[in-house]
Amino acid sequence: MHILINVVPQNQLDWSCLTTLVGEFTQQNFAAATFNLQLPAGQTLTAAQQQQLTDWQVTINQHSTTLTADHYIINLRETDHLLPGALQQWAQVMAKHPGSPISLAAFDTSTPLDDQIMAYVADHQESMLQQTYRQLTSATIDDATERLITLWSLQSYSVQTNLQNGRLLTQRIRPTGILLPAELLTPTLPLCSAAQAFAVLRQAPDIVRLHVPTLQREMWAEATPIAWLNELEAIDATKLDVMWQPVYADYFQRQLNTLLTTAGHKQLSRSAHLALLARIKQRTLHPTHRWSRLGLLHMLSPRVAHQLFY
Amino acid sequence: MKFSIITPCQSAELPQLLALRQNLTMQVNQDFEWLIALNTPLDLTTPDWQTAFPVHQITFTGQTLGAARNAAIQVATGDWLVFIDSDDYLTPNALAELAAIDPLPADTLADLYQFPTYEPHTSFVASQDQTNVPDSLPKWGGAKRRQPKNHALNLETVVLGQLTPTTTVAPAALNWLEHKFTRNAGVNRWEQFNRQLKITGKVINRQLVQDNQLSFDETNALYPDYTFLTQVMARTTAYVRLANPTYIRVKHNDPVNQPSVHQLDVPDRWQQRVAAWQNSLVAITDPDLHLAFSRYCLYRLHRFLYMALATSETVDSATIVDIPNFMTQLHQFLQLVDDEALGEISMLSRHILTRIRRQPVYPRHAINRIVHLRQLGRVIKHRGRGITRLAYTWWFTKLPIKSKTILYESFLGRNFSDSPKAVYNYLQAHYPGQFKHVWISNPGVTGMPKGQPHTTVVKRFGWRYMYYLATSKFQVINMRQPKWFVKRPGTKFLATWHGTPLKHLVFDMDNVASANPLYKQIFFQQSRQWDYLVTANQFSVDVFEHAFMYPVAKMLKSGYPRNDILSAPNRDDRARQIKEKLGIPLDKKIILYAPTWRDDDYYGVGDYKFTLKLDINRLKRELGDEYVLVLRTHYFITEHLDTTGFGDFVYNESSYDDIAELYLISDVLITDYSSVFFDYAILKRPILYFVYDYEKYGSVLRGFYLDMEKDLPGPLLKTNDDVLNALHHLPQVTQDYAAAYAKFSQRFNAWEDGHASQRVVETFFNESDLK
Repeated sequence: MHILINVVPQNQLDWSCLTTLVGEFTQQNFAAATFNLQLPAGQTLTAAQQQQLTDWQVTINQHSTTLTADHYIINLRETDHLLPGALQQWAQVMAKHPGSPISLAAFDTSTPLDDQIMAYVADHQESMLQQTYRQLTSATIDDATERLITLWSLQSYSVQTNLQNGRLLTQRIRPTGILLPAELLTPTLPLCSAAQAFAVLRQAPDIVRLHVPTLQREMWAEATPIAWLNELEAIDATKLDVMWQPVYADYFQRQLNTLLTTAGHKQLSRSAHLALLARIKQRTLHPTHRWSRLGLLHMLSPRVAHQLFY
Repeated sequence: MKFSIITPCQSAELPQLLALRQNLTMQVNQDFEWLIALNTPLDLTTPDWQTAFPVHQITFTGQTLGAARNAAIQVATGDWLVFIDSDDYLTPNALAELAAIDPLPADTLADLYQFPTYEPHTSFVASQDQTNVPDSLPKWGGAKRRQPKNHALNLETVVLGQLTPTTTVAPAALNWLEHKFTRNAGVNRWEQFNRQLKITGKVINRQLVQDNQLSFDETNALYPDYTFLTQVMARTTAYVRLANPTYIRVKHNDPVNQPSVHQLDVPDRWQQRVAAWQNSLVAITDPDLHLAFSRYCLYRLHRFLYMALATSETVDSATIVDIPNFMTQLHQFLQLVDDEALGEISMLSRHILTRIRRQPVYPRHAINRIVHLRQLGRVIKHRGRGITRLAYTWWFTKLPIKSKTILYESFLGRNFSDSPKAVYNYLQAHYPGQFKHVWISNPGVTGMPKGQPHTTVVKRFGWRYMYYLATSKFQVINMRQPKWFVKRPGTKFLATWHGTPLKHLVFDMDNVASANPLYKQIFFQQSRQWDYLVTANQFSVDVFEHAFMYPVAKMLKSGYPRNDILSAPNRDDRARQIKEKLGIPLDKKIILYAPTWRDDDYYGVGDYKFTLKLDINRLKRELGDEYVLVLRTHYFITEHLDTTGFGDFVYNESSYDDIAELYLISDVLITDYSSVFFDYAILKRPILYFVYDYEKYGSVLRGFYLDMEKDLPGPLLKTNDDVLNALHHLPQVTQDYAAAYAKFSQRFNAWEDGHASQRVVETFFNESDLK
């Protein structure tokens, strides 16, 4: 199994973040992986940067030519982070379930990683696995490395066949942070897109979930709400077969509600927020839940909704 | 030698022993000997038994499981004793994972982690051939809430290489990360007590057992393990269980024919259980273990004893006999339990047990009260659901029986149809006003005989339903009655069943195919309540005899009342009336298409269930001038099927009550694996089998009573071309299959002469009933 890490910057490439991510990748010492940078259209690199990428053995815009059937691809943003041992853990699960997409649990980039690990370990202190591990080690949890090992002690995965479970779609349909088997990719869809992840999901017999985070990444709905709306709208629900149509329609509405909540946290400018509200209002004809934000938006004008939500 | 695997076996279990041998050869770690405790001679010199690991047969004195295991322990040479039952099996890495635990001190009680299933080894291996996933397990057979959802990920050494060179991790911890397990020691030593008290899948140090002369109770046939395991627990400081299940425990779903030890119908089961607890408790000196075991026993008394006692006085197969003696035994046992444990159980239960502890009395009223309160509590918990059933059990079954009332149910109240309808019509026509007829209906069902003379329609599971179920003298039902149905003395039950069997039924189904693990047992008990079973042909008689284990003497060899309409002298007139009712032009011939329901198992991803493979457009194009198509499919398919584009060519009659009426109007039947063709053949009209997925359906066909290649009265057609061709040349098809059709009719429809209802009524009802 070979893993292709495809880095897709959201807007302008943040070179320092990319340097960090490549560093985290290199430290994994994982031979069966390649690193590709999918450069945004219109952006160029300096000669020094190009040379640096060559030194790192990072290819540019070559993902499609290198993929073969036994490959897995994972899209990441350059602002994401790999935790130590991530690729090895992925590879272990891939070897057990070749051909299944793998959904990865992740920490968020908005909070310091160590705090999140600490909280995660504390949340799972009743776990028999962690308790057993603590019996066998004399080290205390105060040490950062020890916390990482404790995280490993909790690592588990599950094979899920309830593909149409609406609540779990949030962790199964994302442009980034999911390991997609190359044999299930649809060439006509953008490689890094929610539509691609959704297409893979619909074809897969099951999906594997790796439960303990191996990544730190941005939430699309929070970090880039407009881009996330674009991603959701790019999925043509009318072309889905009848079993998936209601599932996606429900998911879509819930995501719009999430967007209305997260976009109101003043990360967007007033005008961008208003534009987003207008777009969402235009998209929704019949909100399922009347007393949700989406339901309110349906009854109000975007301007009033902006006053309420922002 | 690292391990000694101990397997007690009886001669009847030899086939499963061979399956276990096959399973053990697949173990990654082969550093073990296999000790089979079996008194029947076993020729271990045959090539089959030449394995990479040594196999020894051990004979023993007596018949009990305890004696078998003790004899094997005596000759074991491995460092660790592993207890595996002959019907169970291991995942390939089970022993390797255990062997990799370093250190594993001798004073450890280890566990391979049981995974209950109903899937025997052979079925699991067969399914593995199709999906070779290394961590796959058979279908879960335990309580849904207890199903392990996650696989712990044992990390490979290379992951640990990610740690900085300066990091120091204890070797035992590093080893654990690669071979995870859970460990109960110290204050949580007695957690998961129930798991610790199951012998199968346990791994115990041989030296520890032999040094302390620990042995199983050879005198207790049902519960030999308690004394042994509690003594092992007393001498071990930790309970270690692998993080992922590796011991597959096969549960038996046929307690009637193949009961496991725990399913044996033994009247003194509770006596043996309490005796085993008593022996164990006496021998325990460790106060913590004593308390934990007391808790374990008291919880079981609290949870299971009262219902067993309450039902022992009412049902035939009592689980407790000689209650006064049992109370004396329980009285002695309760002297031994910890007061602290007794104080922890609920007040009513404590009250009962304290009374028995004080004196060996049977507090019948208190026990009945707690059982009733629990029943009422369940109803309250479900916000009133089940209240009518409670009224049935508590009150309605105490009312006098109504000697002139007949209760009918067809397909669990889904419609007014089938043989109960035929019997009802016959009685109404020939014995008008003699009986009160009560029909059971689901809410919203149309077409019920509401408003007919002397007829009442009641809602299934409603108050009136419960009343009539308890008080009607006669019940005519074509499926199964509820499992809580009480057959009262003086009542008569007519099971009409609903078709000639095509797919394997009840006791002919294998362990896997039966969805409900209790299905066979429940069916057996229910069918014992039937006074008569209507059969359509000798073939059905033969099948029901083994599939239902139903006595032939109680079967009515009458033919199906529902099929009388197909042989009636006025059937052409009836057909014309039905056609008019459905709005089908009288000059058009009718193709009846009745495919069977296929579930997910036989479909690949994206190939959805409601796809109709018959090319209706083409049928319409080529045959639309002469024929119309009547569809009779599963309601799920119907709901997703849009037939509006086919104009007046397609008539969707999937929700039409009586399929026999659809047979009557049709000129040709297209079906597949559905049993409709048995009845349709009475009409002697052509039958075509559109089996587009015949190859894919292979595994299901193995579970059929008929050979689809040889026994059918019509052609197997795999493509739409074949179907169209056959429809265009129906006279030729009829001619080609004339001999097969005649043979089929002789075999399956020899009794169908249009008078089955009369034969059934005259046998089921006494002359006095009909006056």
